[in-house]
Amino acid sequence: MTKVKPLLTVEDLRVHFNVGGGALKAVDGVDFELFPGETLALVGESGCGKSTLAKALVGLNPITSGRALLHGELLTGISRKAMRRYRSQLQLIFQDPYASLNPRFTIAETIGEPLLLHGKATRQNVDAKVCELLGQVGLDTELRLRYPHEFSGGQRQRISIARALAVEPQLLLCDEVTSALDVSIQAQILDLLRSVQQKRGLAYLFITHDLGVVRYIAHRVAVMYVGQIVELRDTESLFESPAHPYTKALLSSIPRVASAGGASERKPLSGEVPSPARPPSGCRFHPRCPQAFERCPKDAPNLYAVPHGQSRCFLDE
Amino acid sequence: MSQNAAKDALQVRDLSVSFVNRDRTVRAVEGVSFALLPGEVVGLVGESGCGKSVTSLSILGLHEKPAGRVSGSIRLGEQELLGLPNAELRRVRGNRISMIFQDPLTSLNPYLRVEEQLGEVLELHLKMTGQPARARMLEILKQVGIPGEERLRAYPHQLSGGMRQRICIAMALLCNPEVLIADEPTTMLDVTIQSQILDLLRGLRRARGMSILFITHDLGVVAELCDRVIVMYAGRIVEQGPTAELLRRPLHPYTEALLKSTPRVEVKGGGELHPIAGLPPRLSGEKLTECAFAPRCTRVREGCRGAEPALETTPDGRLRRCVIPIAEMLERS
Repeated sequence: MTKVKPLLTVEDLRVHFNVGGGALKAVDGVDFELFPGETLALVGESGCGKSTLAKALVGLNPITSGRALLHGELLTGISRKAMRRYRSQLQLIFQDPYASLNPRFTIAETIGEPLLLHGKATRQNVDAKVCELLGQVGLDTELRLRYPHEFSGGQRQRISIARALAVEPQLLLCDEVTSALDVSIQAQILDLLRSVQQKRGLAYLFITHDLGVVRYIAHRVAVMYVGQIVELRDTESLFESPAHPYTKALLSSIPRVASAGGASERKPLSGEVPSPARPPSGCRFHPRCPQAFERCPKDAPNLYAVPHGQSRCFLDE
Repeated sequence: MSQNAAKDALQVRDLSVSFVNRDRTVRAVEGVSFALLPGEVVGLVGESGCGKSVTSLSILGLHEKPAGRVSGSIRLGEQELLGLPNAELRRVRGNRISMIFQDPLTSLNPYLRVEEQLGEVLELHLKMTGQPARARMLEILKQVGIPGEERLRAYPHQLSGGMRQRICIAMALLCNPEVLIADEPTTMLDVTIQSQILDLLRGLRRARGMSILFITHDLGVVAELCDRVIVMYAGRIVEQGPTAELLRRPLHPYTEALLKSTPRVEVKGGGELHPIAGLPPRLSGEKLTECAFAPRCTRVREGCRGAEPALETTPDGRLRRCVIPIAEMLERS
């Protein structure tokens, strides 16, 4: 990706919350770039800060320090009014489509509202535009006068996608969009997202905890642990030769269909994810790390270059 | 179906469950039969609404009443559970057969400390109180990997998700049950914690010879834990067999489709995904005039119509509900 300008640039972003006299450092110094037409997956376990980060990017969480740029223009620390200008370029889709659709709006109203609001359609042609969008996400246009409760989970997620696409964004933030769906339906939605990306050159920031999904959909992967990116790699490099011990542990703890019959009694990672209110000293992974040595509890590692990416581990220094 | 019925830890025969509303009947489970041998871990898999959870709830008599109508037979060892008065069922539940659920927070009482939650079970079933009860609690907590007296005084909200699930497992194991029913117990947990819990269940099964019915939608988890798998679709069993064979050589197109729509973390590019078109059928309770999977099946043919295929035993002892020749399934899958 030489000389392609990034669509989204995130620089030393921090989101801290005040809790009980201390700071909960949910996102603590995150840097990455996202290029047009690219899918960057943001993975990690609960509490690693991946969703907090996504919400901060659209102004739903306050930013403590650092910044995010969309097309080189400041996205963070700007007024709500200024933010509205970017909303059409940046859309968010959530895990539970039922909670994010207005139950009193028909599908035509749900998708038509952003079209009208952002001037992408007029009263005269809004219905035709709605039908076009429904067609693109694989829904029968006859259903557009129905309400969300009349649809299945997968269909509702298609509606959310159609609504997000209505304003012709360049970047979609997808927060666990297939986690509530059955696998057969998940596969439908993943295929839809892929084909939409190919047709429109959209970029995705794809947040998920499912690494199988990541390998299928992402070009690059950022692995987060306690508020920081610990590894940022091209997808296949990450899966073929993970650098960071946490990534290795994460990959090895995923149950695999192919393991059936084999004696796969691997040793699970011990301990639990520490609270971001009290992150461990030095490398945040050191208390659980099977490869930790004397330096790890003392110094905090930076991101070091590894083939096709970066890793936050002294072993890669 | 085992030939030696007397030895089964749990035997479910011809179980049907329907829910009747004023204007609508939903037949959630239709003629389901299976058995668990002592010490065996059996996976019950399928997508939302396939009847896997209703099956497990019915075994314990926990389905919605009076709307839920259950028929068939459910035997725990020699004892028939179906139709047992509630008072007697309560003596069996949590004692000879226990259950753990997906969300440990909703299955623990938020007002009770761990020692009160566990103590209640011991007092009710084993009439055990005071020091012996305390000793038993500490012993069981050690087995589930959370040693230490201070845990006994904790409230559920003070524990992490993985820790809460361990408490639920401890509670389920207090009375040495013959059978444990686990309904998606790791679905809400992070993968590193899931792998700890699966490890724990494997160890407990080995140490105690307990039978486990493991309900899940995750074929990876099945592969890691289960000896045998039952695949359900639209309230019916569509395939059953030893885990490795079933996952490597599925004999029902639904099992095959389920495998092909699961992204693989171990395969380059996540493997090829083949979504299953359409949606599962609504279960109105009317007799089927074709295979329940026919509308979504890519291998569908004339023989699939007319009547629902019967569940047949294959030459190597597996079960499947499909008319497509086995050789053809093996050749292309």
